[in-house]
Parts: sequence; C-alpha cells; structure tokens
Amino acid sequence: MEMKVVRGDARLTRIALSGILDLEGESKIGNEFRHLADSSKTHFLVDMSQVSYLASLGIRLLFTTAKSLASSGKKMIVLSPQPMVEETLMTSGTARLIPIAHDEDEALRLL
Amino acid sequence: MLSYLVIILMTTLGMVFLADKVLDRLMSENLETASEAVSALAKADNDLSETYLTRFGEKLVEAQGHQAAALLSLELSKRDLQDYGEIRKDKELRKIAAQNIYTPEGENIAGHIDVFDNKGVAVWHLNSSVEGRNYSEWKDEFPDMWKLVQRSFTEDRVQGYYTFIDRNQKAAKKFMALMHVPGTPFVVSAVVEIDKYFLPVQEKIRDADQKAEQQARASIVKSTGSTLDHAKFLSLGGSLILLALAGFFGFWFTGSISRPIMGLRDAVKKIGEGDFQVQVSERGPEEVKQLSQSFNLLGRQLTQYVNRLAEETAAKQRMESELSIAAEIQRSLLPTSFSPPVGGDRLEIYAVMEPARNVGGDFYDFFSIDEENMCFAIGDVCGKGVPAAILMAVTKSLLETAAGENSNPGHVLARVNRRLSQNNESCVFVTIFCCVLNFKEGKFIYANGGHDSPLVIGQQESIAFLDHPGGPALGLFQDAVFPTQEFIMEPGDTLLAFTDGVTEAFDRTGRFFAKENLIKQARRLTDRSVRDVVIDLFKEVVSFSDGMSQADDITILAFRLNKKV
Repeated sequence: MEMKVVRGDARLTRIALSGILDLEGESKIGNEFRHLADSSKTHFLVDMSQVSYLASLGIRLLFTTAKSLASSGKKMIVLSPQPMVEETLMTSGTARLIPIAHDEDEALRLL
Repeated sequence: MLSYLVIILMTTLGMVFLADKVLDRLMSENLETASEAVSALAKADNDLSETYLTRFGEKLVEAQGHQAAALLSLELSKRDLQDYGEIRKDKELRKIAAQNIYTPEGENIAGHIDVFDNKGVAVWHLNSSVEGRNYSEWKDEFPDMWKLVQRSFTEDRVQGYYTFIDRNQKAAKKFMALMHVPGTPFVVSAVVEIDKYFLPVQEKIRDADQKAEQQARASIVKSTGSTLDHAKFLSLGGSLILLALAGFFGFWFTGSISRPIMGLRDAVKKIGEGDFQVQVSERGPEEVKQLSQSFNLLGRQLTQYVNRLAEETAAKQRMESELSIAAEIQRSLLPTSFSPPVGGDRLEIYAVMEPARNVGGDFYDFFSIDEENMCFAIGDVCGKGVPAAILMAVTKSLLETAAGENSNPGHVLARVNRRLSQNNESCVFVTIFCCVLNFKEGKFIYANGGHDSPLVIGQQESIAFLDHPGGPALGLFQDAVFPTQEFIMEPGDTLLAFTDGVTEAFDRTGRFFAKENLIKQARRLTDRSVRDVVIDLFKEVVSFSDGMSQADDITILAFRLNKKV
C-alpha cells in the first residue's frame, strides 16, 4: 500500500492511494493519512483508481478521516474507485459522508 | 604450546650456532692478530738486539784497538821507529800489532788488527805480503776504506763502515776503527765484519726470540682455546638459561592467555548446553580480560533474554490459552444446533463461521420471535481479533434484545445502530443483514445495514441477490434509517447469506473469489441439502485460496423453506 500527495493547492489536497487497503495497508499508511487530515485546511480528493481491494479497516480509515475533515467543514471525495471498491463503499453506506466521483470535474462539483 | 616450545628451541639452537661461529671467527682473528703482534715483537727485539750489539761490537773492537795501541805505545817507546824491518822481527810486537779479533764467544775469527803508518804503509799485517804496501793501492777497490784511512792521517780516532768484496765477489760490511799509537807515527786498524762478529750471539738471540715467539704463540693458542672454550661454555650455558627462562615465561605467559581462553571455551560449551548462568574470571591480559567481560555480559544478556523469552512465551501461552477460551466462548455465542426452534421440518438451517484468527468479528444468529416467526442475522464487525470479537458479542446481544422489543428488522437495526454509535469516536462499525421469516406465509422482511446482499437460490436454478433496501453500516451514523423490504419465498427456495470473507477470499494470483463465482458455485449446489450447500461452499472458498492465509473471517448462513408436508 502506498500513499502519495500528488499535488495540492489552497483549496484541495490531492492524494493518490495504490495497492490493497486491508489490515496491513491500513497500518502502513493509516497514521500518515490521518495526520494529513488532522492538519489539513483543504478538502481531500483521494484517487483510489489504483486500489484493488478495500477491507473494513480501510473503510474505517476513510470514514474517520472524512469525519475529521467534516468537523472543520471540509470534505473528502473518493475519485475513480475500481468497481469492487466502489461497491464496498456503496454497500457500507459510507458514501453518505464520502461522495464518489468518477472524474475530477465531478469531484470539484461535489465540493 | 608445542609450537611455541619448538620455536623457542629452534631459536636457542640458532643462537648457539651463531654464537659458536662468531666466537670461532673472533678467536681466529684474535689469534692471528696476537701472532702478528708476537712476530712484530720478536722482530723488534731482534732489530733492537742487532742495533745494540752493533754499538756494543763497535765499542769492543774500538777497545781492542785501543788496547793494542796502548801496548804498542809502551813497547815502541824505546825503538827505532824508522826501521820497519827491525821492529817487524819482534814477535811480541807482531803479536800485538797483527792479531785476529775473535767473536765475543771466542770461537770464531771475526776480524783482525793491523798497523799502518801515517802515510798509509802497512807496518804489521796478518798477511805478511801486505806489509810494506800502501793502503792507497786499494783506494779504488775499497774507496770507503781509503777515506777512513786518509782521515786517520789527521784525526786521532776514526771509525766507520766500508764494503769489502772478497775473491769470490761476495760483499761483506766491515767496521773499521782507527786510532793513533801514542808517541808513534803508527795507526792501529781494528777491522771486523760486524755481522760475523756477533753472528753466533745473534743466532742465539734469534733462536731465543723464535723460541719465545713459539712459546708465546703456543701460550696464545692455548689461552685463546681456553678462552674460546670458556666463551662457548658461557654461550651455551647462557643459551640454556635463556631457553629455560623463555620456557618458563612462555609457559607462564601462554598459560596466562590460554587458561582464560580454555575457561572461555568450557564456558561456551556450557552455554551451548543451556547453562547461561556460567561466568568466567575477568583476569589475564587486557584483550583476554575484555573478551571475558564481553562473554560475561553476553551470558548475563542471554540469561535476561532467555528469562524474558520464557516470560513472553508464558505470556503468549497464557494469551493463546485465553484466546482459545475466548474462541470457545465466541463459538458458544453462536447457535450450534441447527434444528429450527419453530416450524419443524418446514425449515432447514445451517451455518459456519471460521475466524481468520483465534477469534473473529463475524457472527450469525437465528432465534424465534414467536410461533410463526424467526429472526435470522449475519454480521461482520470492522477489524479482527479480540476487539472485533468483543464488539461482535455486544452487537449480537443488542440484536437479540432489540428483536425482542420490536421484530421489524428496520427497527432492530436502527436500535442497535443508535446504541453502537454512541461515543464511537474510533468509528468501529458492523454490517448486518437481518430478516424475520414467517415460515407459515413464506414471507420474510429484511433490512440491511451495509452488508452484502444475500443470494436467493430458487428451485429452477434461479439465483439472484436480494435487492439492497439501503442502510449504512451500523455505528457510523447515529440517525441512520434502515428501510425494509419483503420477499416471498417459494417452497424449496434457499436464502444464502455470507460475509465478505467469502467473496473477497483470494488465491495466489491475487484474484478474488467474487460474487460471480459464488453464484456459479451456488447453482451447482441447488439440489443439495442446506447443510451440504453451506459446507461445500465453504470448502470451495478454502480450496480457492489454495493455502493462502485467510485474510478475513468466513461466515455462511443459509435457510430453506421446505414444502408443506
């Protein structure tokens, strides 16, 4: 599991995740991801196009981070998840807090 | 140790050999030098003897000449000195004036005394044929002699050397002392061959010198040999003492190193046998001391490590034991009897739950609401292990309590959700599918809290996932609503609920089992009993994983509504 802050501006922090976001993946990037959200003053656009599997702990990571951002009036948008990941997000109901966008324009509209 | 002794011995022998060679060389050179010194001394002695003998001989010859001159002076005082013929007849005079000069030993003739007048005419001579002849006749043959003779005409005393050539052309160095006979015109001539004069004495001196030289050489050789023997003895003795000292100190030194090392070796052996308490003496050379200190430190650390390991192992065993008990407790929370509490043969139920670790977060449950209704639930707690197991137990308990108060699945999930959402800062959540089946009507009402939709397997191989009525995982949103839907089961229909441990099981290539494969496998099992469907499906999932470690708990719950009998 890898996490890269692709680029950012005053309004949006773009993060790209890749790999499997399971127990091991969460332990690898979890702290950094949460710390990034805690100290962020921007919305998060999380590109999950390269994440092939999202386990319950991954959902929890995204949810807690989104909740942290929401407490300061910011949003997290998941960008272009793979079908199985999108289904997991949709089924779990987390999409209510973490909207899903399939391209960046849609994501920007959702902000 | 043996190699050390061999080196010491070889070194000592080498030293002895070298010392022997050096001493031989030194003694040889000393002997040669001493011999040269003795030779030089003997020569100097000889030369000195010759010099003094020459001077002494000169004086003796001169004295003999003076004696002859004095006697002649007395004898000639009353004679007519003009009549040479008359005075030559006097035998007594002749005896004084013409006589041999003998060597000091008196054995050999070394010269003679003769007399000539102040014109050089020979008056007396041992060779009477010479008498009357003038010495000037030999001035060309013996010019040095003639010069001495000439000087005597004007000087009282003359002496000197000249070279005499005999008939055989053999040269001889002669000493001539000339002195006037007082009161006469005569000159006494004493002539000797100095070498011949002192030849016997010189030979004796030379012999004595040679003898002394030989004795000195012998003495030096003897003394040198003795000194050499002494030096060799000292060298050998010294070497043996050095060898003994080297051996002693070698034993002492190597012992001071080897003893601690042997101790270390024994200690290492003991450590190898499991005795980590062993300690070694921290004495000896600095390096060995440091090694011993390091070894003792290692021993102490090993002891601490082993103790800690034992404690950790014991703790781990306790934990494993506790986890095993927890797993048993967790299993005991799940129904293990699949005989329907109500409905009799109309219902067929079976379920499996295989946690990824000792304990898991998945659960299933079924219990009767009343005589006609039964509640079925399957859930998946976020995470794994003990925290998930605790939440699972709590959730299951909440679920049963809520269902006892209001059997509507939507209400049940909403109530459980509210309870789980309280103070849920860490955002743990549970996905639950819950349905209540009226087996008399063949209808069930269900709600879904973020869980994968179950499959409904129909009699005619119709297989489909139930619609998801919407509803998030429990614990995330406190105000969440869980809509319900109804489904009419035909006799023989089977509802197959599962957790994501089934569809998200993966093989060695990373490929997931997936819902498509679940449908495929379920279709294959339509004519089997519910129990066989569940067990075979579970085996398929395990087989699909092909030995890969189980990433998530696997839970399958199924029930079938049979035809009315």
